[in-house]
Amino acid sequence: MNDTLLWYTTRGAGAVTLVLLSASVVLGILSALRVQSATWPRFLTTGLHRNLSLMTLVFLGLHIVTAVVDPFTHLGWLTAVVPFSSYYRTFWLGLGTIAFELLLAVVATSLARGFIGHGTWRVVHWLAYAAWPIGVLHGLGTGTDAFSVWFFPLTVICVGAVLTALGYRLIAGSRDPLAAPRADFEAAVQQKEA
Amino acid sequence: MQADFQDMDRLTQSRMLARDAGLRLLNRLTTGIALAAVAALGVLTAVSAYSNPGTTTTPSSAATSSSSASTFTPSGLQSSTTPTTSSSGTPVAVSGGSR
Amino acid sequence: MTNLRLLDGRALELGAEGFAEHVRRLGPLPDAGPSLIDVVAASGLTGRGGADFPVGYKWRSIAAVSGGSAVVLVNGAEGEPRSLKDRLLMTARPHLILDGAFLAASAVGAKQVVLYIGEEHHSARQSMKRALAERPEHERRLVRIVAAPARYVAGTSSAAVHLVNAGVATPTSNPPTPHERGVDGAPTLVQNVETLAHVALLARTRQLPGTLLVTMAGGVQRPGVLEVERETTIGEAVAMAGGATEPSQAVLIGGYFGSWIEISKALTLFIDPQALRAYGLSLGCGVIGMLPASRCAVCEVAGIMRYLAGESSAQCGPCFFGLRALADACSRISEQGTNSSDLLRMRRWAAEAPGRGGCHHPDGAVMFLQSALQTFGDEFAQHPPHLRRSA
Repeated sequence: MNDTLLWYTTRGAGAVTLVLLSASVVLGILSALRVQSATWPRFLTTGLHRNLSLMTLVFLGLHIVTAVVDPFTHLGWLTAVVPFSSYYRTFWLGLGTIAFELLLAVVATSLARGFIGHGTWRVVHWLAYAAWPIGVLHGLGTGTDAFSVWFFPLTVICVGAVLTALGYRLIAGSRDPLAAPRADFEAAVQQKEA
Repeated sequence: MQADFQDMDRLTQSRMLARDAGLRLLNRLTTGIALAAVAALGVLTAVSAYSNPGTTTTPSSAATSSSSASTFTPSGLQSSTTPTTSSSGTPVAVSGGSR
Repeated sequence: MTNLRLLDGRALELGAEGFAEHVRRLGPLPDAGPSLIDVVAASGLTGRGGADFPVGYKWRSIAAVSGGSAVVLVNGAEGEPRSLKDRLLMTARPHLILDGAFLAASAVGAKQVVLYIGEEHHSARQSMKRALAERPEHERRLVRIVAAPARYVAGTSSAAVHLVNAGVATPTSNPPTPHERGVDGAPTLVQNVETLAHVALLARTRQLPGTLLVTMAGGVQRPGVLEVERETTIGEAVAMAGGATEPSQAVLIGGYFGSWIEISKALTLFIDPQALRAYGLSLGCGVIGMLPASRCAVCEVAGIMRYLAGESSAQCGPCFFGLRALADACSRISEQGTNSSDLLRMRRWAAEAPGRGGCHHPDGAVMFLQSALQTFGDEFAQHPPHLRRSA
């Protein structure tokens, strides 16, 4: 196998991961706003969010594997799970490890939501708000291509999309007239001792 | 066993059809995005090869960690032909949880 | 055994029928398995929870995806305020319901049974708890009891499943449905307690009792639960309930998601889900409410619309705001007299709201209102102002 191909692939896969992750975060933010139309039911937003998150993990896996397998990076498998254990760009690569593990936690708890309960799931899912920026910083700090003519604009677009979605949610959320009655209803139908 | 639509009222039926349409759209979008992601992988791999074929990269904004960041030196023997865009990642179209 | 009825056995005032008595009267629980599904399908039994859905078809689709891991959710929430039949059945004949639940579990391959009982229905819950304690251990360990919040929509299948999974009884209509992924992610069979009682008798005698339970409410001398045959008319049921307290103007069939019928047409209707469907009506949860002539129909309808609007789970605008607007328009006509703009609004919004909410709640409320506008068209068009009389 051509070793430089591994290196190119890890960079390409990293970029695709960034895009998919950002798209997933955007959909996650929009899910909370319950946007829907006649042709776009609400479950489409959450369903797509879910599918894109799993796709993100696949490309992230490829990104990690190609990076570790590449003999010239001198990265052992340990660097994929132990943050700040690489010699190469220790800090920025360590951020990548952290982002990876946060994402794993988010996805694992989502898949096991039935077992761990809603409350735990919610708390862990908020870690997604940490995983994404850490991933972005990793891309900018480790990346050979960080400020290149193709990767940097890509990053800007992804960051812009997430910030826009966040802004929209903060504004629309505070204007959500259903927030109070919905909370009242949920309080009224909480599970009590049988 | 076929659903006995005569037994369900029209509202339930239209809701089921709308739901099926939504699910079909979800599956199509997922598949489409998966294929686009694979294609993007190929393109960006090629782009990264073209834009930075393997000159020694010195860490520009050096990490603040104490261990020295060694210079990453790829083989540098990359020929000018762009690598084949064979994707090694398998796109997994995962349905959102129902048929 | 001849056609047994659901409420056969000891007198209802004497309380719950215990396990020993139940077995003595009806024999032990028959062996069942997937073959029971064919029996249920052939019998034509339809659900008694309100949707009137073919039970055999439901069981077959769950069994097909169960793989032995399905869950049976026994729905005894009885969210409809005027309905009493489910509570009565749980209080007086808990073992019929438990029999039905275990038969269903065996037929579809379920490892868990959840009893979903209204949190305020204390005697029903006590009775089911005691009955469960009398069952053999291999049945008992499959079961847990979950309290259903006392809200209208908490009795829907998706809300029940959501409560068990996530601790909050909010209804949903997002896929997957409870049948595909319900309690703990497993295919879940949600079945009303009365339906399961029918199954308990069907499995023993190979025939349905041929009766069903209705709750007589409103202007009758003895409101409460009746077990009636399918050839019983509404008029006969009223007579069984002691007759009307005064001449009636209309009947509400099926509870708050049901339909209004003028009294002259109502009395000859058979209390049979299929017969009613031919008239575009539904027996629903089996509440038959008589509206006395002395009551103001518009005010009654407005009061029910206010209730239904208040029971929205506030997840979707069309339901929360739409029903509130409809209830307000109704109330304005009720209190301030007819005005054409409110009448127009109601007709327009009633046409727009259905199908846009996240669950069935706004659709049911709107169908109720539309049947009211049809049956009480004159009253709505000519209503004089008067203060709220009936809440």
